[in-house]
Amino acid sequence: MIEINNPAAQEDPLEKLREMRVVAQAGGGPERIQQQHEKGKLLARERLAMLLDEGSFQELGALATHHITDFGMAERKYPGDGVVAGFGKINGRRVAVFAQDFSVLGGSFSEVQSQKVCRIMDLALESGIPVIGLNDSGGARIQEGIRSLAGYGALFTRNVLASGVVPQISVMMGPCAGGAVYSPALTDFTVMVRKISYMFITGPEVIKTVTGEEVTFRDLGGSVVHNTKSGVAQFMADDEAQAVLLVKQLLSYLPQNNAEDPPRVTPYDDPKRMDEELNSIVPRDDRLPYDMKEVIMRVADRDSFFEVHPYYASNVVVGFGRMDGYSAGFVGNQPSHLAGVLDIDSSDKIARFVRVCDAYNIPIITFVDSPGYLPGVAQEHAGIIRHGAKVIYAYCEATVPKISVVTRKAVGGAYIAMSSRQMRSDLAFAWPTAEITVMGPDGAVNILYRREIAAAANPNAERARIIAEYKAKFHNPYAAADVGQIDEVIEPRETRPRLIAALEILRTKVSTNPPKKHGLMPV
Amino acid sequence: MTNIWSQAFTITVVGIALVFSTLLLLWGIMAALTRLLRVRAAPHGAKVTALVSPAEESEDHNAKIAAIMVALDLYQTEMRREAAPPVREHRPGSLPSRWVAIGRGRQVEGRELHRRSSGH
Repeated sequence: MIEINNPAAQEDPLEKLREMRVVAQAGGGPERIQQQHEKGKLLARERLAMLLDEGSFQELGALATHHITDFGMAERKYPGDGVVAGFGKINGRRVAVFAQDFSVLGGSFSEVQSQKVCRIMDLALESGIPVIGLNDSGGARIQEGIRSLAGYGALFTRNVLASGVVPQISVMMGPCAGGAVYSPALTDFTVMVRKISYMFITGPEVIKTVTGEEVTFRDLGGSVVHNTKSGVAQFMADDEAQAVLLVKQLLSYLPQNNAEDPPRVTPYDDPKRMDEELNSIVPRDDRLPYDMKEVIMRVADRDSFFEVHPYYASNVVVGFGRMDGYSAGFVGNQPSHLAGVLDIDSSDKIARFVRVCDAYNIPIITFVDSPGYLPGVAQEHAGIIRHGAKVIYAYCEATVPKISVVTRKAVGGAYIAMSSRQMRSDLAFAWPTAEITVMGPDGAVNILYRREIAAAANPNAERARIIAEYKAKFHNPYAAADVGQIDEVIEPRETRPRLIAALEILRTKVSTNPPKKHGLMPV
Repeated sequence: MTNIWSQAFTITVVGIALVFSTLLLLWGIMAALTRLLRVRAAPHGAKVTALVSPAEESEDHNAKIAAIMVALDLYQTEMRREAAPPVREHRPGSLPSRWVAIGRGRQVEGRELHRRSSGH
């Protein structure tokens, strides 16, 4: 119960409520608020004010407090108990939000915090609206003991139940350590703010004690680490304002829930626009790189491409865009980085993104230019087989419209994995520069013509001649088109209008999978 | 009888003369006032002149129009990025078509059937 010192408020019920609200708004007090600001961080309510439409926030549980008396906690009660939770609107869309308040007991996670957050998540799940969490917490509230851990368990359960039903976005605006990191890890997207956010299971002190390694907070679990190395976070913002902007932009490509379509923007880019630059974007020499991101940006509606995981596994590009105003997911091998090979990290990146699109009814357009999987002992021992299988699993399971466009190399396993025709892809297009083969020419010729090359007077010249012949015969899309593996060979400049026309046909596509409790994705 | 007609004629002439002379007088006063005040009505669509040369005025005006157009374009782009109401076609939460609604229900039905049949 919150104590009110104003005698007049004790008499008048309305005055009492108003006083209590004032106390609730004060958070941890002026001193702690100032400390937060001095660190360059905003408060929970300030963040929510930036995120939500003005006047749309409806708070729940503002007056809730903990009931712990151990460790002197009876004298340390703050209304709200370190989290501001409720409902609001973002660009007119209903969302459930919670923001941890670091000024209150370090934002530590308590039983009451868990109850408040779980409450709004339950309501969000029943109402089919996205959940956005602004995380800024020192971790579990030690004084509450097992209650705090149980609270995390309840939260994780909601994260999992809501996964794939309503979009869940976590924004890290402060520390997140220990078991607490699993909540953002279970959500669909994680945004980290540079310099003020970090995530790790065990901190630098414990690591130094156990393994002897010395590392700073930032180097262990900062935004750069998780955006570039671990892939735990999908977005990195320079500051809190940009983080909020990223959330709004991300949300604009997603529906309210898994039964609805994403919002459509009034079309502003001619659906029949043919970009002549695309006809010459792929170099004639197949050893030269080009930028797949540029291909995607030229095909999608102007300025609509929103890259996801931009700093992680740069050999593949994934992101949302719009085609004639409709939301679409784009996947593309990036020839300018590692020649677009598939490896463990890129396989995880593709698989995750494809499953997100499938969960939220967003069609997938895949641009293929990959020479295959990255060879190497390190990759094999780290499980490239298992990780590469995730891509196949994700594409095969997806029931949203899937269209592939082979721009250049589609060799062996990479051809199969990248949304090929037999993996329930709805339409498969290829550019005239496509090279759809089982194996690269060098490897294939060495196997098929080993004896002839060995018997030749000039083996090198003979090999070069056979390679040229092999390339002329097989390094094109026509053999695949001949057997129906490619539906149509198109000019690159035609890509946009063909894709938009195809998506229009497939807009009402509904296909089902055999009933099962769940599949066993090779994790 | 002739007297009456001549009186009537006289009254008519005097009356007409009075009306037209009043009109002439009013016209004269208006003309004089107009000349005195030198007020000219602006033609439709004319620009407001400023104390600058025509070349400078055109440049400023064009720059202003260009700035306004850029600002509008940036605003539109930002609204599109956020799929904000001014550029959004459908209200979020609008139901998909009946075909799609039924189909998506079927997509999750398999799991629901299994759950019910296994007694959970």
